[in-house]
Amino acid sequence: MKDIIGIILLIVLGSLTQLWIGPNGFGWPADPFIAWQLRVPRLLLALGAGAGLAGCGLLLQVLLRNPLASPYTLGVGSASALGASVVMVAIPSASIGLGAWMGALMATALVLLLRRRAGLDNEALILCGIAIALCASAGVLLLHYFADRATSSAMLRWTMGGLSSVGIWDGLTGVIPTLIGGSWLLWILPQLNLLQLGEDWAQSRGVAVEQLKLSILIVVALWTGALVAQAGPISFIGLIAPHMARRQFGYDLRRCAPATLGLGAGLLTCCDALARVVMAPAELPVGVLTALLGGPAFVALLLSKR
Amino acid sequence: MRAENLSLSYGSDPVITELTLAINPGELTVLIGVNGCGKTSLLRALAGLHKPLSGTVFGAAQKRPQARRYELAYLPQTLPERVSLSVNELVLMGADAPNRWYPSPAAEQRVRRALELLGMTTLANRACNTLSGGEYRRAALAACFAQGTPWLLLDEPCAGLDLHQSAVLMNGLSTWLKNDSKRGALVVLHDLNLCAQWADRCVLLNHGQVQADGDPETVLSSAALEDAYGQLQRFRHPQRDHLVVLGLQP
Repeated sequence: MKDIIGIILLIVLGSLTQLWIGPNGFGWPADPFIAWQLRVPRLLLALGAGAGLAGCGLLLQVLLRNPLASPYTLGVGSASALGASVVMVAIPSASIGLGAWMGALMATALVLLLRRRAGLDNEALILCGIAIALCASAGVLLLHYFADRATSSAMLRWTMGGLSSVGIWDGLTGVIPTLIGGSWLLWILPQLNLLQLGEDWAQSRGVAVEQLKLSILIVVALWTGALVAQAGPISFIGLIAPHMARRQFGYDLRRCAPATLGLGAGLLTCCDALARVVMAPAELPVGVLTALLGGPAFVALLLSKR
Repeated sequence: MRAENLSLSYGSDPVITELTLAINPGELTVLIGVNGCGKTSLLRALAGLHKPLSGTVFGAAQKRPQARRYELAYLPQTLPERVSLSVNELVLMGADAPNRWYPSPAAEQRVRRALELLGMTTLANRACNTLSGGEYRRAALAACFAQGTPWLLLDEPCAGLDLHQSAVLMNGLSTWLKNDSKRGALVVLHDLNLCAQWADRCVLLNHGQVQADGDPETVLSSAALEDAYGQLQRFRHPQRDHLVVLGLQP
């Protein structure tokens, strides 16, 4: 019970800090535009992206039966960065988010194609993801080389991730994919519970394993792609939240998965609030802060397990 | 449950060739044979987990997994990775259809009975990663019982178990079969003496084909057994009415 209260407190603390922090210190803004068109959308995006990235991380950890999997394991993060960079360099008038989403979908389509053609197992899928990520990163570097200084700087800034939002729609683009993806995740939890025990074990207990695995890959691509398109490739939330939840709530995903979503939302909201406070009135890119804090936190979590 | 002219392969390597075998309800059928003779592949094909190269498997394997789970329960040779689930949680997870968030009262009752049958009631709340190898195998078998199917396919359920744990497990299996005449089980065993003691029928597999099939007494005293395993010493147990089979030094 105290673990559930802890997650709720984390979300409430992050949310209140997000809403009350401004360049002039703490306080609810007098201008309704700042409150409803800047701070509330930013909070919604942080909650949606945090929960979503954590949910995608959990799905891939179960699918690949690998605790090191994250939403970006199959190359989605780097491919979306490539998609966004291509748009910035070649079609500046087009939407960067759309480019990022297309990049994410193309990376997953490539993984699915390779899986179908070569009948890849989980390890080979991860290696494919690494290869796609390396190629996409090389593509981004190549674009940096050819781009002018301003575009190159914008590309670099995008890859650091950020939750700046203008208008309620920006916030909803983080919440809507997570509401849809999260509902689907909760619906298939009993099947995921069996899948995490092994494919033969799950299949002989009534799970259509191949169908489920394909659905997970497609949902993770659409879900992660939609979030990365809006918030950029924010790292570590998708890796660390499932680990923390599993540690406190055990391996029964009926308890662990809702906790993962809540932890993801709480962690990203708190990190973003911190990113706005640390160097106020300037802001740190939230993706840099999640990596800076997440890395040591992850190592500490692993060490404390031992 | 029946396989007709069944051939199985891994890539281009044939494992089972033109095998025909029927498993009957009301019997504990034990499948024996040396390592690599195709026992696990046959079991997986009967469970619908290995696609045949040719031939047909009649029975539950022809159905979709969602329907198959009501007809047969399969215990794989390699058990699920041990995680910090309790025994009760592990057994409950497969006891009902996988689209249910919470198990039905009927499934909970099956779980209680399965745990009782295998002497696991006191361990129900223990985490699986704190159990001994034997206890964990019994928990996995309880999960198969709790599925409530008429057929059981068990791949080396006694692997790594001591004499007492093996006897507890085989006794639980035998009692489960006797409780309902419509139930049947195909069990892969390496211990020929367990086979002699518990089997109603014994099938000897060698080089992917059935070499002997019949009551354990007949199969374990057949020449085919020495063809498969090499030189053996066989004698009748002085107190119990079954054969004892010992391997000899080559």
